[in-house]
Amino acid sequence: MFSGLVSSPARLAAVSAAKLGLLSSLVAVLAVSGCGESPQPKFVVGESTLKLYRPAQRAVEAELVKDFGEPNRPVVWQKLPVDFGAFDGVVEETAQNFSDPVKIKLTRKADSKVPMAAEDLRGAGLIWTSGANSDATAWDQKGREVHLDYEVERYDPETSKLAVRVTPAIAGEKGKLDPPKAGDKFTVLGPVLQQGHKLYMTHCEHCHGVSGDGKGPTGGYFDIKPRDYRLGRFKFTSTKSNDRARRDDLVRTIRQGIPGTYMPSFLLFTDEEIGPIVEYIRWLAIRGEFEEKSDAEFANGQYTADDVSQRQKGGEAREAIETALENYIKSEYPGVADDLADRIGGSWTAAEQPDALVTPKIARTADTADSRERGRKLFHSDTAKCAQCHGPAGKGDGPQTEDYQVILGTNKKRTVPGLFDDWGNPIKPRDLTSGIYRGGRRPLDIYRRIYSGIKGTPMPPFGTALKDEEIWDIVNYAMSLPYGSGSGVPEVNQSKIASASPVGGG
Amino acid sequence: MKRFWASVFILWPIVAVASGVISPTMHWWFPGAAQSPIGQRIDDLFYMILIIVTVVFIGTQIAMGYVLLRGARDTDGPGRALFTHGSHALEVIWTVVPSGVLLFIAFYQLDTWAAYRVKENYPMSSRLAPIAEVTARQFEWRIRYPNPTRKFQTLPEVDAWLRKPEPDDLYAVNELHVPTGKPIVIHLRTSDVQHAFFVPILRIKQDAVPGLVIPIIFEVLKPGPYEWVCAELCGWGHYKMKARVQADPKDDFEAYLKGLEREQFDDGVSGHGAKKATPTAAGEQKPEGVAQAAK
Repeated sequence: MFSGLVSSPARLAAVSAAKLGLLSSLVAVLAVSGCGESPQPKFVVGESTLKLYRPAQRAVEAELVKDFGEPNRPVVWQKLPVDFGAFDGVVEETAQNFSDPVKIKLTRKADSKVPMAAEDLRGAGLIWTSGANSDATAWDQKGREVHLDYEVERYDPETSKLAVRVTPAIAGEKGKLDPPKAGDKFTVLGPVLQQGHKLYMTHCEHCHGVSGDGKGPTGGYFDIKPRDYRLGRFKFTSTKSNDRARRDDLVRTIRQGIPGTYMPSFLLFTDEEIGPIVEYIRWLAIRGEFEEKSDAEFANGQYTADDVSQRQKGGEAREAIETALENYIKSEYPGVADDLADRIGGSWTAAEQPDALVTPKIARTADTADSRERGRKLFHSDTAKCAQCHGPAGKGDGPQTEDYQVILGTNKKRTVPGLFDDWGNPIKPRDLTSGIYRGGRRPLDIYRRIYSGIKGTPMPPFGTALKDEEIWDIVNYAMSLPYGSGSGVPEVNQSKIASASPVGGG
Repeated sequence: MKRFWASVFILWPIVAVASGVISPTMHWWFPGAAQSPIGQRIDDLFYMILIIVTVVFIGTQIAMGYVLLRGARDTDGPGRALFTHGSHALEVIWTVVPSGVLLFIAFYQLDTWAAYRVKENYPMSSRLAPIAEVTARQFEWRIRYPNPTRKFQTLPEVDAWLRKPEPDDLYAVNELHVPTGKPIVIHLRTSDVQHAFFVPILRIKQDAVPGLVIPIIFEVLKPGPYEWVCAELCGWGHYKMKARVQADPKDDFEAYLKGLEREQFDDGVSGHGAKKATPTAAGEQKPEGVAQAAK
């Protein structure tokens, strides 16, 4: 049976050599060419924007690009309470060509405080503030960086050499470029946000989505949906019920994860990683809220697609509507957008102030049987009404979970029984016997859940209705529930203590 | 041509052996000396097997090379290769010798296996002082320590603790603190799919199997942070299960638990929470006029 092979070894060798050659050249081509440029991430147009009449929709989209840019090239808008990160730099040697790496000296601006990896500046925006390439029109009157002309191509902190390139989006549009000269000054803009973006895309985007809408590719599989940042609302915070989340709250959530959900702990992130991620998430939240509020302004003026067709049916001429809309977009919307940014930004700034923080006025009441009994009575009382949702035994099966709830902002009732959160997802009151505390298990955490409620959910704030002593009594009662005799022990079903020796390898 | 192929088949084992000799000097080698006694015993076994297979490999390759070259020479003339089949003596030798080697390995490793895998062999003091219960879940490690004041008198008491959390248990995630210098036991379970507890430098690897609570024993020799990963593909977020085993001298370990307790029972007033677990990104709102400064 080997006669064929033996008779023509040369032919065989030639065939295999040809095959081998083809394969190896294919591999070589792939290795050299890679898989091509990965597609640029894009912000997704929000649902409420899509409902607007087309010209209004376009106006909102254009405003968003102007104010926030694109995911990997954010516009630095000084007005926003986001630490974009900024460095001042001076060129220390004169280069031959524009793109040559030159020795520079960098100083971080004093007002940029978020920890970051200072050596990773790649992709950050750059503005020449002196020298031949300097651009006095880089900022507009609103404090937005409008000329996204240059960015850091690479920076080596060991040699202090920095190479600049023209932003890929406008590469080719720039004419002759003057090489940097010794003494030229520049500012590196947004490296914190840039780093936050890179880390976000690696670790967070696949659930939370490019726009922070909670619609990333893996997010869709969960029964507990990933947070959609665009309402600016985060559930587990240390602030009062109307306040936003503090940076510390987001840091804590990322470090500790949210037990009982698909949000895992990212404890191993360093401060230099977590700082930029939190900044990027805050920026996404602000952007999302800015979009939704802009849409609401247009909806108020009756410029949703439905409104416009109604108005046309009602006898208004399309041209008249469009002219009015155009006037609004030209003369009023820029001011409106500015106010929105102020308002939204202001609320995030306010959350960082000391008076936004919820701190108990008195220490936790001693966890005695008396205190728990008082807590139990409050739990069932008409003041706190805890049992309405959390159930008589705290198992999260109160009567409200089977009732038809009123839809938020309307007087219509839902057609499906049960509770819903502000994002429209069905939600269950916590089973207090499970021993799982999503927002943390410190008494302080549970105090804050009761004091401020859980933002975006039907859990209301009790900070004014209940006295501190009463809240602590409820905390003591709630924290005793997992250990109560009888039901509700957090036991894993069918779990048994291995009686045999350990099995399996890995 | 036949000499060419004979040389190719002789060349590759030479390259293999050479690269095996050179690799350690280029730091392309195993992950460093094991940091636990059981890991050192496992390493000893590993190196013993490595030596056996190296000797066998070199021996068989030399024999094969000899046969190839000899065959090439013998068929230079007009003669044809000699076909032989069946040598009873040879068959017996290459059955008995490898069997003997395998049996030797099988018996030689029993003690190490038993020390690591048979929990009846664990020191009673370690079994009665479980360090923690580690629950793997997609995609993190949740840790529950018994309160430092909790003393277990009997094994059923430990089992009861594993079945039912107690109010003063301490909780953590993704960072397991352990004391150095004594054999310790942790209990591994999973709340969803199969995972595996793997600390490479300690050579500790154990599957977490749904429905089972599996004790793992090990001793860490030197303080330090050790890489801890999941070694069983458990889903799309498998790679996220990076964590850290932090080994500390006994005093530091106890201090850590005390700090954890203070943090966990923090009420925001009593000063329980003096130790903050999470250093935070500071940064107030930027003052106006940054745009001006940039120009």
